[in-house]
Formats: sequence, C-alpha cells, structure tokens
Amino acid sequence: MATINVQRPARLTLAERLYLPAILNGLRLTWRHIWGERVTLQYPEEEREFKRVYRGVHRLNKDDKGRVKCVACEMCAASCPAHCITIKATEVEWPERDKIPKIFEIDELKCIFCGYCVEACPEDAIHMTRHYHLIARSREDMIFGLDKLLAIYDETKEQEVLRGVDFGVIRARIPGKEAGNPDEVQKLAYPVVGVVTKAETHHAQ
Amino acid sequence: MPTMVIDGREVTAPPGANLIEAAKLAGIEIPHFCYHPALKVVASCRMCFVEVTQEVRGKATTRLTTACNTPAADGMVVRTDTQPVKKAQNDILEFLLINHPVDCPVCDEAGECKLQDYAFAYGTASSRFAEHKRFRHAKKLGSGIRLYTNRCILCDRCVRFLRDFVGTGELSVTDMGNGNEISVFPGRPIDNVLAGNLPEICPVGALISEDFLFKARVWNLSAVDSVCPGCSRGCATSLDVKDNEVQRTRARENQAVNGYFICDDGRYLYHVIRHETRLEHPAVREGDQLRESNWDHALDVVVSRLAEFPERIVILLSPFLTQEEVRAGADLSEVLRGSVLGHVPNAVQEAPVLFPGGFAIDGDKAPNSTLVKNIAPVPLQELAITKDTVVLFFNSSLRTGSVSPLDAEKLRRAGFVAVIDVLRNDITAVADVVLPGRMWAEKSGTFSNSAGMAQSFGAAVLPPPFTRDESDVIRDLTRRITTRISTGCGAKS
Repeated sequence: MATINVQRPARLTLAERLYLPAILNGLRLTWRHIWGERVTLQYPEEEREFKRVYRGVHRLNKDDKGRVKCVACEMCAASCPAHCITIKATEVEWPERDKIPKIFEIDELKCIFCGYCVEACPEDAIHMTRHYHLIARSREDMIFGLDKLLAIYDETKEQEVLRGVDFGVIRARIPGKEAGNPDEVQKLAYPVVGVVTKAETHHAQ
Repeated sequence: MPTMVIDGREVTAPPGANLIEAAKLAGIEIPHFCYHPALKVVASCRMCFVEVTQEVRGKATTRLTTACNTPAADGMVVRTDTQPVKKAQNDILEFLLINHPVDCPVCDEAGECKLQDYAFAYGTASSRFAEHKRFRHAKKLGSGIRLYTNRCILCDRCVRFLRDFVGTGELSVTDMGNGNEISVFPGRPIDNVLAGNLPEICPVGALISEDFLFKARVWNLSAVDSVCPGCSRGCATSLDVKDNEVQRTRARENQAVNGYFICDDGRYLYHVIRHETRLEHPAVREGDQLRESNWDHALDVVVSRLAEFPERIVILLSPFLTQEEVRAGADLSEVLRGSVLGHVPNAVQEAPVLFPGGFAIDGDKAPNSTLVKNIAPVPLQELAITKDTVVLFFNSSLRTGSVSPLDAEKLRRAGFVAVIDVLRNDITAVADVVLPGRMWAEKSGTFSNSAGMAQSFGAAVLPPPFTRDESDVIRDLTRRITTRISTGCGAKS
C-alpha cells in the first residue's frame, strides 16, 4: 500500500476562530457604502447610459441614397461564432454594385453580442446600437429580418454607435497587438464595456 | 523515366512530364495560373518560377525558369523555396494585383480562388501601386457565362480551352497593353455545350456562372462525389450542397471517363431534383382520378391485384435505375413466378459528340442502359400487353419523353399499371398506382456506363419526406408477395 501525504490547511488562529473580527470588518465596509454614492437605479423608470461602444441590438446601415449598404458578402455570417446570421443574396443592376441581400436575418436569441460581425464587415454596413430592450412574444419574432434591422437604423441614425473601425482601436490597446492611431486610442481611453458613471456620461453623448 | 531532385526529394517522373507534374508526385505544390493539364502550355502567367540547376555545356548552371514548360530531365536539381523564387512569385503577384479589384467579399470565386490562395501564401499584403485601377463593366458572354473583366489576370486558359479543346474558339484576347481583355467576337456569343466548364477553368473570379451567381459562398458548400445520370457516359461529378439543396454541379477528375470536364446538360441537370412536377406522395387510382394515399395502402393495392391471378405479369425496368435497383427488379421477377422481365428503352437519343480535346458525350441520354439491356434484354415492344396484364414499371426517369409514344401507347393497353417514378409524366397520368421514388442525388447506388464501367455515387441531399428508395420499395414488394404466395395466393405459374 502506497502512502498518500495529504496537506491539511493550517490551523486557524484564535482571532480567526472567533469569527467576530472578520464580521466587524465586513460591517465596516457595508457602513461605508450606506453613506457613499448611490449606484442602484430604479429600472425601468431610470435607465443606465452606456458608452457608444456598447454592443446592443444590431442595425443595418443605409447608404446616402437610402438603400441597404450591405453587399451580402456573408463575412459577418462567416465570423459569427453563434451562427445566428442567415443571408441570401440577390442581383441588382445598380451602377456601383450588383449584389445585395434578399434575406438578412439575425437570430437575436442565438446572438452572443460579441461584435465580430461589425468587425468583419468590409462595407461598414452593420453596427451595434446601444439598444438593449429586446422584447418579443415568440422566438420567431426574435429573428430580426432586413426590414426590422433597417428600421433600427432609421431610429438610431443620430446615435453614435459601435463601428468596425473601433475594433482596430480596441485591438491597439491589447498588449502584443499592433498599435492603432494614437488619437483614436485617446478618444476611447475608457474601458470598452462597462457602466458609465455620472461624471463620464457626457463622453458617451 | 527521368530521375531528379526537387527540394531535396528524389522524384522519378513519367517521360514528358513537366516540372509541375513531377513536383506534384513528390507532394510539392508549384503555384501556377495558366497551366492546366488538359490544355496547351503557354507559360504566360510566370507564376510557376523554380530554380533549376542543370549541366549546360559541361558546366553546372543555375537559373530561374517556368516549371510548366520545362520537361523533367535526368539529373536536374530543382528548388522551389529559394529567395530568388520567392521574390519572383511575390513580384508576379504584385503585378497581377495591380488592376485586380480585390472585391473578394462579393466575388463568387472567393474561397476557391487561386489568386486569393497564392496572394496569401506567396504574396504580401501591401501594394506599391498608387494609381487608379483600370475599370471595366462585367460582360455577358453567352451560355450563362459572365466575364468580370476587372478580375481577369489574362492567363488565357479560357481562350485555349475553347480554341483547342472544344474547337469553337469564341473567346480571344483583344486590344493591346493595358487594354488587354478577353472578348467574344461581335454578335458571336459563346455557344457550345462545354461552356459551363469555363468558370471552373478560370483560376480567378473573372468567368462566373450565372447559374451559381450569388447563390452561396463556397466555404458553406459541402461536396458529395456523384456520377452524372445525364447520359450513358457516366462522368464523375461533385454535387455541392448547402441547406439540403444542390447548389451546383462540378466536374470531378476521372481520366478513364471525362478527364477534367463535364457537359452543360449534366452540369445543370441538378435543377430536376426540385422540379415542380416532382412526385411526392404515393397515389392510387379511384375511378378516373389518382388519389393521394399512403405507402402501405398503395403497396397493398399492387399485391392484391397480383394475387388475383392475372393472365400476365410484366416487370419493366428503365435505364434510369441504378444497378442495385435493376438487380432487385430481376429478383422480384424470379419470385413472381410466371412474370416476364423486360425493359423500356430510353427514347431520349441525341447524336453523340466528340470534341477535339477528347471529351465525348454519349447519344443515349440515360445512365444505365447497358446493364438494363443485359439483365432484362427484351424491350417492351416485343412483349404482349393485353387487358389482363399487370405491369410493374420501375421507371424513375429524370427526363421527360424518355418513354417513347409507342411504348406509352402499349402501356395504356395494360389492365393495371403500377409505376415507380420521380416526375409526373404520361405514364404516371394513366397508371393505377404511382409510387414516388428518389433522384440519384438522394440515394446511393451504382451506374454502369456505356463502356461497362460501374461507378458508385453517394446521397447528397435529403429526399422529399414521403418518397422511398426504389430498391427498398422493390424489396418491400417482393417480401409482401412472398408472404401472400406462402399463404396460398399468388400469380399462376
């Protein structure tokens, strides 16, 4: 029979065995927060502001003639780790391009909101807005089609949202990756995802 | 048999082989655009540069040379990975990409494009070309082929294919210098039955098939090895599938039959799989109309009719059946004592075509005529069909008009006709029981071509839900019939 030596944890000290010092220490922290800044929001009456790089519901952008900007290249679908994008292309006879999507569907329930589609798009045709209210009565309704995604664009046209170029900037901040434009990095000098505090809200607008 | 050394590996190449083929034997890829094993060598793209050390006038000489027009010779030392070779490849790619639009995201070739692959493997990401790229609109060349002139790298594979292999020569390189482009002669579009091979021959996305245009990105396709059922030649094909639908057919290399190509008839035959006249439910005649039924009932009607001691039972096989189905049909005729086995010859016949490049298209537009004629040698016209005849016709014909009017007239004389078929046609309209079968792309099987070569193919897509595999149906019938016979009923012997 082989002998197995087991490393037991060290015996607790007297203070640790009493538990009270640790409890008091915890209470001190609680006490401090009671008088500190309030962070709880009365959602849905109050809503949190997010930074422009927040990754919410997608939108499909329109070009300056109001037509869908997407060229149905399926780069987004190819890069999507959740396989939630379905595209069927069709031919059009426009002077500058001949391929547009006939069907463009994002299953918002399958989507993991990673933003890879935004990064992959060579036409800057897909963005992620700061909308996060995703409500529907059925799973089918959560599959957003071309009409809905374009309508979201009309709604959020004025909003500054997550664009493909932001990923170059974000990547520039990851050690070991090639550096991006330092000015762009400066503009984005806050955490990529997170809650905006009151002091920072004006940045996001 | 010349023996040489390529990248340190000793290779013995067949006589007459060039360095690209010799390197392939050693598992070394030499990049090339204009070279195609079925076409004449022109060495115009200059992508296949290798460094060859050879004895010239008693002195070992090392030089860069194009591998496609250098025959393998004894004692050669070939390097494909030296600095001068890499520089040559990189420079050639930079030149080719000067006017190439790099519109890979909207190009159907992306994913199987040689320019894309080589740019990744042998090129650099940047270009020193600062001027405007030349711009030309896409042109429709005829026969469902479109030329995206911007993407063309002028390897002239298409020109050589049409001129030397097909012999029609519709395409040529027109204009000079920067204006160089592939064109058809005015008023003379591409018009031949091998035109569908052009997008496959084109190493880039310049020649695009309108049939496949924007249908799918190629990385989403999965290929299934198949055999073309279009004629008795039996060309090797690849069915590219996405979303349970065949998106396109590609030629598969088979030197014994079709080489590298297939004809357009076979290439676009896949549209028949989802044809609007497809039979999807078993049907049984009630009065003067066919009514949708279920398999158990439909087969029972057939077996009950057989158990009524008909005067004659005729089992007819069509040349569209697979080898397995033909054998199952022959087995059934053995079980069904007193039955006569015959075949319905395919009526869709065209003149056979032979191209200068050696590619042949057979005149018999059915895949399995040879085997069917061997197993069931009697044609329908030599069989007596009377009012009291029960006919079991295993047809599954992909072609309308494959049953000649004479044969159809004869079948109409029968008292009872049960038919397995895939498309609605004259026969299914008058049959008493119609059983929906499956297309070649929906089942696996074997076709024996006109030369007697048996070739197997695999199932590529799921069939319509209420159809059944023909051999399965025939065996089911056989089993039901043997059960009846063992209980005392059955056809008169």
